[in-house]
Parts: sequence; C-alpha cells; structure tokens
Amino acid sequence: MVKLAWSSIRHRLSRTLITVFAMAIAGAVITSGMSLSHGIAKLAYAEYRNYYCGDVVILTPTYVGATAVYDLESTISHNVLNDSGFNPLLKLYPQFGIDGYLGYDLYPYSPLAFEQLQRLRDFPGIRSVDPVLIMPASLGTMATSLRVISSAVGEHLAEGTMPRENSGGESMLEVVVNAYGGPQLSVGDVVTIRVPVFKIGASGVPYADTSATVQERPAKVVGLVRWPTRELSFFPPGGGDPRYEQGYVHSSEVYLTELAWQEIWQQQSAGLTYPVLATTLRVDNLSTLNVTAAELRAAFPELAIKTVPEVARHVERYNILDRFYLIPSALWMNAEQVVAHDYVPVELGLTSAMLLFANAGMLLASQMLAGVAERRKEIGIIKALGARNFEILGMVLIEGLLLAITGSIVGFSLVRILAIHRDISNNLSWLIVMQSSLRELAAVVSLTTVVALVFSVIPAAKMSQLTVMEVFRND
Amino acid sequence: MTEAIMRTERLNKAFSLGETIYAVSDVSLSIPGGRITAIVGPSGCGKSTLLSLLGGLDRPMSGDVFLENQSYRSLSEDGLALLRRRKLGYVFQFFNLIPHLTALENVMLPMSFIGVKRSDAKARATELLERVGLGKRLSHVPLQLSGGEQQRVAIARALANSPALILADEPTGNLDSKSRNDVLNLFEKFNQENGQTFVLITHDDSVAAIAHKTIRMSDGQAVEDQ
Repeated sequence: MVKLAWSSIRHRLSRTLITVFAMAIAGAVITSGMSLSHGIAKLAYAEYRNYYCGDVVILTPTYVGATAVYDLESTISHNVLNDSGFNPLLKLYPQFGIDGYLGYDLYPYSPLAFEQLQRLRDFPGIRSVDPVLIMPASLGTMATSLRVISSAVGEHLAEGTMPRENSGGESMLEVVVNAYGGPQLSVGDVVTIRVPVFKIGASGVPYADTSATVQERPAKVVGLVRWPTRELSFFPPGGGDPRYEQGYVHSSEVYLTELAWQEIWQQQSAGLTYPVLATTLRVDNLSTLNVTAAELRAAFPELAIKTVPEVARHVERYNILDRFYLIPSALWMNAEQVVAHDYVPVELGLTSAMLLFANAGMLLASQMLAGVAERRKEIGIIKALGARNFEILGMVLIEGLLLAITGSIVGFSLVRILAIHRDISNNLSWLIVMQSSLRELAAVVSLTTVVALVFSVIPAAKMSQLTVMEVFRND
Repeated sequence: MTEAIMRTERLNKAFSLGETIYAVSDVSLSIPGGRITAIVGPSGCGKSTLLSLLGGLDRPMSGDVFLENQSYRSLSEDGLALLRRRKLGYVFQFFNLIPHLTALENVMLPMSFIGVKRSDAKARATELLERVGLGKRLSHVPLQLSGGEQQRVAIARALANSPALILADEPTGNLDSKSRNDVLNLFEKFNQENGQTFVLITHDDSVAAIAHKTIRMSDGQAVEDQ
C-alpha cells in the first residue's frame, strides 16, 4: 500500500507539487515562528544569565514591580493588580490580580529575612548565594539606591576599576556607577551621596524616615558599569538605513563594597537587619536546575523562585525583555518606536501558521477529493484484487501523510537555509535569532501529521467506501 | 467426470430500471476444476452480472455461490475480499491495469495483499511475465504497452497468487485478431501446463471454441451445453 501511495504521488506530479508547495509554505512559517521563539528564549536566557550572574532568581513577591519611591513612610495595605490590558507583572504573578498581595503602598517590597538567606546558603545543590543588598539614597537631586557590588559588576565593568575593599571609613568612599542612566558621570568625578535614616515599620520592614537627618557622604567614581541586554535593531528617526545597537540597562544604581555598604547601613538604621530584596543563586549542577528549583519552592513557599530559563521563557512569551531597556536618550530619540520595532509577534506568527496549515490541509483535501473521481477505477481494480476497505483507507491516508510531511520538511529546510544565510537579514536581526533544531522539526512534522490525517480522512473514507461494482458499472 | 470447483445454487440478481429486470435468473451451474469453461451469450443477457456474482464482486438477491465448497453468502465483505485475493483471479475486457505501476509492479500487486516477500513476489512476477512473453517489458507502464500486451500483463497478474479460478470477462473483446489468438493460446497453455481453471465470458463463439464446457446464457438464464 505504501508502494501504491508513493507511486500515485509520483504519477500525479502537478497535484503533488501544488500540495507539497502549500505544505512547505505552512511548514516554513511555523518553523520560522518556532525558531524565532526558540531563538529569543535562548538569547533571553543567555542575557538574563549574564545580567543576573546566576541560575535562579529569588524575589520576595512584593518586590516585583517595585518602583523607586523610597523616601516616604508607608503603611501596609492589601493591593490587587488591575489588568489594564498588557501587564507583564500580572502575567508573571496572576495571583496578584485575584488574591492581591500585602504590600507597602509606597515602599512596595518586603525584605528577605536574614535567616532565609542563611537557609538558602545551606541548601543542598546551591553553590553560591548573591544577595541584592540595596538601600535608597540620592545622588545630587536624583533618587538612587546603593547596592553591594557583586561579581556581575566586575564582569560588566566598562571603564575604570572596582572599588577598593577598604574604601570608606578613613579614606574616600569609592563607587561604581552605571554608564547609562542617572547623572552623566565620569571616572574620577567626586559626588555627594545622601542617605536617609531608616526605621522599622509595623511588620518589621524598614522605611526611610524623611524627618531625620540625612547623611551626606562624598564618594569618588572609580568605575562605570554597563549591563548589556539584547541587541536592538531599529530605523533611526528621520529615516536612513537600519541600525543595530547593543541595548543596556538604564539604571541610576551606585555600587560600593559590602564593607562600606554595611557601615552606612548600620549608621543609618541603628543596626537593623539588611533589607535583602532579592538574591540570585548559582547551582552546583545546571542539568538538575529544575529539580533544585522545585526543591527550593517546596522549602520556601513564601518566596517567588524563578529559574533563569523560566524568566527567559516568560520574556520570550510576553516580550517583556524590552521593559529592561530604558534606551539612553542620547542614542535613540524615540524609545517607543525602537521598542515597538523590536517587538516580535511570535504569537501572531504562530496563529498565521496555523491558518496556513488549515489552508494547506484544505488544499490537500480538495486535491484528494478531486482525485476520488479520477481514481475510481484504480480503487475498483485494487478492491477487485482483494484489498479491504481499511487497506484503501490506509493507502489514501499514507498518501496524504507523505505529501504533507514532505512539504513540511521542505519548508523546514528552507527556513534553516535562510537562517544560515544571515546576510539576508538586511533590515531585521530576526533571522539571526532563529534557532531551529530537531525539536522544531519534530513539532512541525507532528503538526503536519495531524493536519494531513484530519484532512485526508474524508477523501480516504470516500474512496474506501466505493464498491467494485459501483466503479465498474459506471465505467 | 471432473469435480466441480465452483457451483451456484439458484442465483438471482435483478436491477430496478423503472421495472425490475432479472439479469441473472435462477441460475444453477457448476464449473469443473482444471478446465476452461465458457459462458456465452449475446450482449445484455446477464453474462457480466453472473461473472460479478461468481467473482464475489457483487451479492446476489438470492441463491449462493460455492468456491471449493466455501459459501459466499456466509462471508462478510472483508471475507469476500480475502477470498478474492487468495482464490480468484480476474482478467477484464479493458485490462484494468494500474496506470502508474509498471508491468512488473502490476503483477506483484496481488501478491502484496497476501504478504509474499517482496523479493519472492518480484521473482514470481518476472517468471509470469516471461511466460506470457513480456520478459523484456517489465519496467513498462501500461501506456507504453499495446492492448494485447496489456492483456497479457493482466493474465500474469491474475495468475500471480495461483488462484483456484480465473474469471475472464470478454478477455479478447478489445483486441485485434493476432492479440486475441495470443491471449487464447495463453489460456490454453496455462490450463494444460498448470491445470489452471478458467471461466471465460464471451459473446464470441470462436473464443468459446477453446472451452471444455460451454454455458449459454439468454435473458438471465443459463443452459449448460455439456
């Protein structure tokens, strides 16, 4: 029967070519969508891993979406997020829109308890814990936050050096600032950092007491850090050729050594526990990352624990990576335009591909239905020779499958070839991002198989129900 | 007296064309094994309808057909299909070869239904095509063959599974006289050399001349000559 099906495919060349072509288009579109999706996920993973310098990100739930408002006393209240259309925060934490969360109105985070940090450090499978130690401050008139320098800063230092361990105290405080965002500072500049006094709130959460004396500390900028993100392609305002630029996180954070940070915190909080907002973890074994994450979730149900691949997948799914891009205004005039341009409508692509597949399936069905009349005699002969109904059904289904799968493999191959030839991507970088692998091939072929089966069933049933006499009498 | 390989018991088949017309009416006959039997009669006398009943391609209104004592009536559609593939061979007036298969593949086709290994099927098909004189036409598709050659391929195909009985419906009706003689010679040859049973449906008395037994049909009724 396979031989018969194959022979029929070769014999009806024009039908074969039309059907294979239609399936190839659908296969190519869906491969593009999936490859793009896969590529973005991989890219996002790489970038997030680079950004966080960790494998697992742990956030206290109310920190997510925190805004930089640190200088007012807060009260605890029950908040429910409104879904105003596109809210990535709500997509990340849907329960915030249903049950809401307890948070501080204007101080919307609760710190990670010190003992939680210790438990994380002792947790099996965890290689290192890199807590985000942060306190609100201001640099000149601009709100900023002081963070303990991490190894990630060293990895992304663009200019200058890291602060010396003994900076602060007797000597001048040394800091690293972000190259993008905040006041435009250079290495060697001396700035004044203003730090409020911290008190403890009703539930043990610290807040800034604006009525108390603010500490002023001179600090020397010894280095500039740049946090790279995804490369952006965009058409510059006013026209011209597309441009590609590395995106950087725009941040006004100031980084200093842990010793200096502790000293300031102790002075300003009168010995409060560090308000650790978030932490990143490195695991011993990346291949068991998901297992480790599951164990962490079981042990710390109160924490929002996301692996970096999960964050990356989420980014890929909702395209929220661009939320991290606050594009330097000197470089790009119209950030909205850039972000909109870089938006990759993966879902739209997949939906189009589904429609194309349905279309190709209908074409397959109509081609095969048209073949029913043409092949009546052939079916009659085969049945006269002893073929049973289900064998005829199988033959026609095999034929449909061969046509559809051949088409989808052609489409997949075309996309792979295109993705290899990066030069073609003269105005968008999406071809470079595309990652097609056996996973995509398997998905495309599986989908094609389903489409082919669904759309071949009617012609196959029609053919198998023909009786020998019905065929021969009409001849 | 040769034992009957097939027999019918009071077969009836009618068609409703405004009025009910009996194409086969109360036909009881027997087909001797290892012989050539001709069913002759004028056009429209019910020969082809009888053949379709004998071949299990159609069901009678009443009566039954027995092939090697197997009743057709007791068989399901699938059962009939299995019987056709194992015990019956067909030769049609218009050859009815699969147009996109080569001569060799056409002959191999019935063997694929009974699970003959591909290499064995190929060897058997090649041997049969050589025996019908088409050893050099194995890879030709039907369009590349003459009518006589196509009919010889059809005969080879009918013989492929060594059936108990081969039914031929006007096998020479579409052939020139030379091809007609070639085909008739083949029937005789396979009958004599292999003891193959043939039933030939024809309106041509000269075709019936090669038969050991002739059944005459008229208005749906059959009369056995001898």
